[in-house]
Amino acid sequence: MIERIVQFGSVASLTGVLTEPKSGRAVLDVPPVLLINSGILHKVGSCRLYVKLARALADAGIASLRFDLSGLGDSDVRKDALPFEESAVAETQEAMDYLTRLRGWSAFQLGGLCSGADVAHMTAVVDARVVGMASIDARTHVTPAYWWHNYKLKLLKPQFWVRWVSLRVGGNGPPSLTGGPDDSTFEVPAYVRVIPSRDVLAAELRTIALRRVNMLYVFTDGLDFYNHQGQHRRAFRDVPFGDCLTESHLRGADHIITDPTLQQRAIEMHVQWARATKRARVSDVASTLAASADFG
Amino acid sequence: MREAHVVGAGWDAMNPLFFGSSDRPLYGVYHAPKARTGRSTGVVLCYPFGQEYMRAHRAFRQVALLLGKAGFHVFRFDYRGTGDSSGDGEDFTLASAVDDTRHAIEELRDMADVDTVALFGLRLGGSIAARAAQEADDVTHLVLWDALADGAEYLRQLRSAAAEPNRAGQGGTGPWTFGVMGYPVAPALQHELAALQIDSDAPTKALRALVVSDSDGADAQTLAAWLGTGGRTVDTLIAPLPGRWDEVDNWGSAMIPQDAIQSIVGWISSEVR
Repeated sequence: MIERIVQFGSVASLTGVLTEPKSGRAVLDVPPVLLINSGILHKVGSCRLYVKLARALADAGIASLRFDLSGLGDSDVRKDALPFEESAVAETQEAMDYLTRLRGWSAFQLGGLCSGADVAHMTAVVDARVVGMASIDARTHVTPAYWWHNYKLKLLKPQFWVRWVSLRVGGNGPPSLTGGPDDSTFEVPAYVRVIPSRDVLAAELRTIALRRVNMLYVFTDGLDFYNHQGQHRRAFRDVPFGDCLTESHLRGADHIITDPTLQQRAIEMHVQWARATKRARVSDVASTLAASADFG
Repeated sequence: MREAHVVGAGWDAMNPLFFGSSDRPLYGVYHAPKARTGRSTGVVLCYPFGQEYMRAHRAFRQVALLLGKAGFHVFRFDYRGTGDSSGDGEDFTLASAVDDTRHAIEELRDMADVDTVALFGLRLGGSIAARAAQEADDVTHLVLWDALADGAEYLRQLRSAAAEPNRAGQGGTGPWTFGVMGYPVAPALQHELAALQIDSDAPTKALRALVVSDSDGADAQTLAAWLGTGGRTVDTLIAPLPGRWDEVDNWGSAMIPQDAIQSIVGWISSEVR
């Protein structure tokens, strides 16, 4: 494994660490992986997830770039006023441009947790160079089955009904123990996570799916809108995922995957999935689009 | 394996680099001075450990930028086994972190052509800075922020916050590695923390020191007394925190105590040449 620091970017100097397999160990037909910040956590990732993942990918012959978006970690602040949703996509594209100039790579996989997954999604929608997308706790939608899973156990508990009745007669729930990020001494992500309507998200996912982008969706128990294996595919049953979607519910994991065993499982899952993403997919785009009528 | 890139002279310009031995490189970021003040002392920043490192990373960036604005050469770096440096989390020990700090001091002295340095450390990083300063003739100032004087008490706190010990593949009677909010605490580190009583260490050679603390607690008093051994001047500052350094919240927020940062940068700017 070889790690080197890279800096790129036209509006702000962005800093990243390029991790590559040792000479002769690279799996040539697998595109490199770009790891995108989650929230304001710098490129190391929560519980060092991105560092461990980058090194595991390199051991499997796959290159990766973990980098800081502008204003985060060791990257400069942008001097323009572009909103995060636009600047993050533009900077991810700049990272791809840079790697093309540096190594000649033309196809890429994107990975990220939470807002990192959102940026990966937004970039994949507009950039055909993205042939793989691995998301942890991405945006999704609830389904009838979600509500069933949510309430099936609670309905059997007396406390649920006591609370339900008290709310109906005007009582208050237990006070929140979290004060919220309202203090100037805390810096929280500038990105406010708004989940698009199901139809908007479905249309975007359809765009990605029709390009046959290889997708891995890992969901932890840290989201309040996901609770069972298969929910994401069911929520978007009108999207022609075909065999391009792998979904996994990482049971017992919190949002930032602090449990080392579960974190290792997430890393192994990502590496195994990434190896299955081939550069050839990008050349499948035309034939896929031609066949898109089949999906109705 | 070492690559340094010096970027433009923009206000936020940061210069990341790998340093140390090529087989175990350390990641650091050098901040060049933004004002010509002729200062001959650089500043090395020592991060805390674990979740506290993640939560404080942005505050460290701000301290570095403000010190750069005040004319200092500044270097912040990741210990081995942490951040972007080489090694696994289990590799992190007090001894290796002190060793890494010595390398960082040498790196800054070479890079910036400064003769002496001031060390700034937060929480366990304060303890590491204090130890790194003990035998160093080139460390003239110490700034310890919520630093730990009693390692055994810190270890107790880590244990109480820990997930189940990871005993997989580890026989014998322990101790075993345990994880705190996703960061492993290896047996070697546990052993070192259990034995860490900063006032039993040899006195530091630093000439001046500032002890900043959330409250006038035992750690701060112990550190101030120890640093004052031999009549050295020690300043103290109470800077209440709005939260805990080790907190994990739903927003992934960073803690940036602005008042304390301004006070610390002000002290360094006035006391360090």
